[in-house]
Amino acid sequence: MKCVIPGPNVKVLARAIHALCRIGDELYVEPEPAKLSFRAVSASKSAYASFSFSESFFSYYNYEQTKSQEEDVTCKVSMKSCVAVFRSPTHLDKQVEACQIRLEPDGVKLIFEFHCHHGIIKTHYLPIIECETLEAVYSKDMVPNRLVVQPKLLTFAVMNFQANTLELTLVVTPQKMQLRNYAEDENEMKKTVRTELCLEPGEFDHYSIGVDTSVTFCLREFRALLLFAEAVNLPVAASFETGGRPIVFVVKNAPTFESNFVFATLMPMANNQLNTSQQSYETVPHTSRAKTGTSTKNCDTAHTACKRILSPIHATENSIHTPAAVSGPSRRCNSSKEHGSQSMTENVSELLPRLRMQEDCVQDNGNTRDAENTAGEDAVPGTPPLPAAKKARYIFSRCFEATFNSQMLPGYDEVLAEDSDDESNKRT
Amino acid sequence: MKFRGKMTDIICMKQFANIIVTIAKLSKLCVVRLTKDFMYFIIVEENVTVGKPMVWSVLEQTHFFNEYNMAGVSEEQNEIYLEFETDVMARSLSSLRVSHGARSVKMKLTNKKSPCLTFEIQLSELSHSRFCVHDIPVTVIPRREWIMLQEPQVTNYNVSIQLPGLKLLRTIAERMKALSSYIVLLANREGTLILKVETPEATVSTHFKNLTVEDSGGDEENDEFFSARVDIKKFVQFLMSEQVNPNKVLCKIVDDKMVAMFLVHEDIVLHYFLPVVAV
Repeated sequence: MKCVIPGPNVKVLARAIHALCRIGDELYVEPEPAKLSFRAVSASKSAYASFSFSESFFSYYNYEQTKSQEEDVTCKVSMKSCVAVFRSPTHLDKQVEACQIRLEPDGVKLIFEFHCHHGIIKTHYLPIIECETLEAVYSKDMVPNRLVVQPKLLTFAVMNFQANTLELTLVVTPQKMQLRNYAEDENEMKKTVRTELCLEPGEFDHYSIGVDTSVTFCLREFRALLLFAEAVNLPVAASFETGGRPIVFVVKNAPTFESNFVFATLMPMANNQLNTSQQSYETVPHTSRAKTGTSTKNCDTAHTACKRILSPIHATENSIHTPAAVSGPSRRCNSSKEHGSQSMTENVSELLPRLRMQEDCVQDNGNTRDAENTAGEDAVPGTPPLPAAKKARYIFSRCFEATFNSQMLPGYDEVLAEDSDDESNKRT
Repeated sequence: MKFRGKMTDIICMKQFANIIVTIAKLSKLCVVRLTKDFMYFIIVEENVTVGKPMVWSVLEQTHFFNEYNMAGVSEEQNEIYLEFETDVMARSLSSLRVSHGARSVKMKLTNKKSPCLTFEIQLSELSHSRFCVHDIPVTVIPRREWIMLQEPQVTNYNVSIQLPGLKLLRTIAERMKALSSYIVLLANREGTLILKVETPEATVSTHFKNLTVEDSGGDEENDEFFSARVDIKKFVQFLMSEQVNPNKVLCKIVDDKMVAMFLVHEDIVLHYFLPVVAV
C-alpha cells in the first residue's frame, strides 16, 4: 500500500491520530481497496474509534495487493510512536507539503515520509507489532434516538464538569436533554460535586428521541471525540438506544472521511435515585414522606447493585467484537478485570499507609526483636523486609497455636501407678 | 440555617471567581463564613500558623450580591461556617471567568442528602440561555470550632511597606525558589525592601527602593531594617494572587516574628499571614 496525503489533509490525519491516542495504546492501520482505516480500542474494550479515509482524501492512493496474498495487508503499531510522528498538529500544515504512507506486503515497518518546505524530507519508520485486524460490530441504523449537534455546544457543556469526572450521563426526553456526572453510589455522591446541565432541542441541528432514556459513558473518550470534531469543525451525530447498549458517534465529511466512535454504556439503574441536583431537590420531600415502604426499596437496591456489576461486561460484549484478538471468555475476563482493578488499586492505596505504619512499629521494636534472637533470617542487608503480617505471626507465633489441652496428649489415659487409696470403691 | 445569594453583575461574578481561584492556589480547603454584611474566606493551615488563620479575606456582601439572605443558628450567633474544597469550587465557577460565560449566579445552601453549596449558573451562550447546576459538598463547622476561625489580631508591626508589582516580585521570587527554600524579607522605614536568599555558595538579594511606607510612626532611626525569614514556597503562592487586581499590596513585618501581606481592593480585603521560620 502506498498513498500520498496533500498538505492540508495531513492536519486532519494528525488530529485523528491524536483522538485515537486518547482511546487506546495501539493503532491499527488497515488499507482497503478504496479506503484507508485507522482504528483503536481502549484497554478495557469499552471504547472503540475508527477513522476511514476514502480515496478522495489522498492525492494518490494505490492499494496494490500481491496475488499470492490472500489476506489484507494490515498492521498494528504502537500509538506512542505514531503520536510522536504527528506531534503538534497545529503547526504541521505550515511545514508539511505532503505526507506519504507506505506499507509493504511483507514489511516490518510502517513508513511515514513527510515532504516539508525547502525540500526537507522527514521519514519515520514505525515498527509493526503484529499483523492483525480490529473490527467492531455495532449498528447505528436501527436505533430510536438520534441527535446531530455542533461540537462547540457539547464542548461548552462538558467544560462545566470537573476535570476528574469519569462518566457522563445523558438523560434524554423529546423536550430536553440533561447532562450530569455519574456517581456510583450514595457515598460517592456525597463526596463529589454534582453538576447538571440542561440543553434544549432547539440547540441541536437535529433532535429526535424515540425512547426516553439515560445513557452513561466515559467522559475521557468523549472529550477525545469532541476535540477532533471541533478541530475539523464538523457536526457530531449520535445514535443510541438505551443504557447498556452502545452509543455511536459519527463525525463525517462525506465523501472524504468518516469517523465512528463507539462507547459502551452502563446498564441503567432500576430505581431512578441517581444523582441529579435539580431532580433530587424536587423529590426530596417525596422520599422522606414515602419512607414507610423501605422493605421493598431495599430489595430494589439490591437488585440494581447486582445489575451494575454485570453491566460493563454486557455492554462491552455488545459493542465490540474483535475477531482477530481474543476469544470470548478471555475478553470478558479482561473487561471485568479492568473494572475490578480500579477498586483493587483503591484498596491497595488505602492499605498501604496502614501497612507501612505496622512496619514502622515493628522496626521500632527492632532491638527487642534482635535480642530475642528471632532475626536470624531477616538480618540480610538489602532484602526486602518481611510483610508486617508475617513478622507479627512470627513474634506472636504462640498466640496462633491451639489452646493447650492435657487430654490431647498421647498416653493421657494410661495409668502408670494406681491410686493408693481407692476412693471410688469406698463411695459405692 | 439558610443562605441564598444572587449575583448578576458580570464584573462581580468574574471577581468572585477570581477570588476562589486565588484561594484554590493557596490551600486545598477553605472555610467560608457568612454573616449579614460580609462573606469571609478563611484558610487555616495547621502546620503554618498554629491555631490561627493563614488567610483572612473579607468580601462586602452588598458589592457582590444583588440579593442576599442568610439566617444563622440563632439570633445572637447569626453566622454560618462552611468548609469546602477549593479546587472543585474553582473548577465549577470556571464559566464565570470567561467573557460571555454567565448571566447570573444563584448561590445557596442546600441539603441534598448532604449539605451542599449549590451554584445555579445561568449560562449565556449566543442567543440561548441555559442553567448549569453545581452541587458542591460542604461541611458545616460546629459552633465549638468557631473559636479557631476568629479574626487574627493585628499586632504592632515594625514596618509597613507597599509592595511593588506582584508580577515583578513573582518572577524574582520564582528564580530564588530554585536556590533556597527560605526567603528573607527585609524592609526599613525609608522605603527599601530587600528580598534575599542565602545558600552556602551564594547570597542573592534584590533591592527595591523608594517604596511608599505607611505610617512610619515616630522618630526612631529610619534606616533600621526589620527582617523576616519565611517559607519561599508560601511566599510565591501568595504572589500568584495577582488575579484579584488589588489596588495596593502592603507588606507588614514584625521583626523576626511574622509577615502579613494585605491585599487591598475597594470591596475585598485579603490578609495573608506567614510566620517566620527560624534558621
